[in-house]
Amino acid sequence: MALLDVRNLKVHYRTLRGANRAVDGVSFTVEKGRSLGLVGESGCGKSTTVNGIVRVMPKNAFIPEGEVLLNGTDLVSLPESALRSIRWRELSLIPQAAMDSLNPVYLVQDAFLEVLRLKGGMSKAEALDRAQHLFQLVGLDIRRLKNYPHEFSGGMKQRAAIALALALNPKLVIADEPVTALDVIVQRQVLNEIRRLREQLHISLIMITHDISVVAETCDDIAVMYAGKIVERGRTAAVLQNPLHPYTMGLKNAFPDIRRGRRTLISIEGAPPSLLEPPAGCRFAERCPFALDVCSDVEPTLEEAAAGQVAACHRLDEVDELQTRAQEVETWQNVI
Amino acid sequence: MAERDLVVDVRGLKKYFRVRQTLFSKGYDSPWLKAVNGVSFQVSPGGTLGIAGESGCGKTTTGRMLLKLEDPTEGEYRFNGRDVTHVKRRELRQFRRQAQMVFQNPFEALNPRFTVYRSLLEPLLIHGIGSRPEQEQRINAAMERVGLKPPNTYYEKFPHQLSGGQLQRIVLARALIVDPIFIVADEPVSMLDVSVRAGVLNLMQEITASMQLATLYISHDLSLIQYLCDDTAIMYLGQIVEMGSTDAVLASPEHPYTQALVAAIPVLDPETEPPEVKIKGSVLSPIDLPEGCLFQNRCPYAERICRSEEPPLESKQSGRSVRCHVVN
Repeated sequence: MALLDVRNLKVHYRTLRGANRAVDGVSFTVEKGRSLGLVGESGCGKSTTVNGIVRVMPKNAFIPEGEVLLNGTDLVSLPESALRSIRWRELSLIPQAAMDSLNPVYLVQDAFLEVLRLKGGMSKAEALDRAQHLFQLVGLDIRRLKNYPHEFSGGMKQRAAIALALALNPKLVIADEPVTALDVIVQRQVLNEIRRLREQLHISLIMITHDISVVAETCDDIAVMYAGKIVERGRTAAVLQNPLHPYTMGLKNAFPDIRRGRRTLISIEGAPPSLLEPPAGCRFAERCPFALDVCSDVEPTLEEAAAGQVAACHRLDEVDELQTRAQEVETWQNVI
Repeated sequence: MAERDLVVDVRGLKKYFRVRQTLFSKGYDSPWLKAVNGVSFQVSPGGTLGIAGESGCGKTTTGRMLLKLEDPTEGEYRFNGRDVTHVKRRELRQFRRQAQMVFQNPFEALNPRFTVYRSLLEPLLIHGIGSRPEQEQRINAAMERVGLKPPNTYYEKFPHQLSGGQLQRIVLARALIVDPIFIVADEPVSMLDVSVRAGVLNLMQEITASMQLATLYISHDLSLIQYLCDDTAIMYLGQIVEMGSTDAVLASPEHPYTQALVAAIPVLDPETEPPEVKIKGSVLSPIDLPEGCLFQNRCPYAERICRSEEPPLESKQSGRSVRCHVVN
């Protein structure tokens, strides 16, 4: 049994103009000890997905459908009080810019003590001990516990956020853009730290990022999201080397890779559709150079086209030809 | 190229800020923060220079000085043949027209209450350019140049009705509408999604080439610099540590810091082990700088001389300059 099994999860937002279907039927699993990278562009629903999983959501968000099975227990139907005993202990979330949301007039150690004492039921002495251990685990000087959050550099903040997420030995850690605001050298250090901790502690990881190269370096599996849906999912190496969905092919074209030298970047024209009234067919059809009539009428479902690799596209059987055409600049011009 | 043909020519540019460390300290006895500590470079018409470095290295302050938004503490700045180092702000009208900025965040760079037309009209009104019909003509031309066609469908749109890519095109059009000769683009696409980023980059590349603009790109992202810039300067703690043609600097970096920067870029191929980043520790405080090389505390190759003598930025025959005792 998978550690986390998300089945047809939907998270919508109530707005004055109707429901915004930000996450509209997302399914994936995370096995014990494995890592999944959830990638996509702003507004594709990747943060909303994980917020739905831990059910830390804004007031106007609701889950109309779907299951989130953590070790077989459905978190969606669980009452809030029961969820509270699962958060931190079973799974923890590192939100975007986690340390910037700490109270600036309290010491960093206070945040740790609060979690460890309130959630972990530790005495103050035990909690202090554990906080020091956690700081050592992520390579921070334990004297820094007595600093205020603003005295930390960007890299130290991310390390501290990771340490806090690990406070009560969760089996699954969800990190939302953990390295986005960091400089490259610090980013590399934090990514190495994450990899090391995963191996050492055997934890599973879901990492949200817009940067496919970060996923390439850290995650076993990848799920590509577009407009509230997963369009492709599989082993990271397989998906990046052999993308099946035109959107994944386009993302790869648009992504600069310094090691491959200078080559023309190709953009995907247009913008994602409104999720207030999403199109009936494939949500990428409008921007897709390979779209047929069927694509705007019938929604494609995720189908296995290579070993362990699924994609939602009506033209999966022509994937070789599409991959060749996707590398040409002309293909992507004047689509809209 | 003769010196008089240069658009931008800066020598030994410095910018120090006073930092008040306590609430009641008096300004004059506060220590200096050396944000930019003697940078020199040139940009010619049609030339593209990229300044790269991590946050706090002084790249943005350098850009601000080149636009005269910040007065240099020391050094010389010649713009289009004229010394503008100490020119008073109100005498800068012509300069302000010729040197334009492309802002980082297109979602904030435009007035939310202005229509697209009004946003593009604003610089023309400020500089008193053209009659009404001429202004409309200019606005049309600028919008077509950035790929917003047909222009009149965008006239009455407000920023919130447009996508990030469209907004950045308007920000670009607003900079181009007064016929500048120099553009500073500070992280021009960092707020955009990958799929639209490429379109804006291609557009900027094509426009700066066809209009023969001198362009300074400021970015932390070396892949973007590689894509856009002929030449690259790598900054560290207010100084240029390596400069040369972009392809050469990125393919065979010589300064230990540049080597680490290049090695730290994530590898897109999951099967390849990422190269090792050899440097440790973190950047020194720009308030209390040591003798010698500013990179000494992180450098894996530091020798005794690096702790006592500041290495000069030495130019080599290949056109590369490197600030390092060990390499030179």
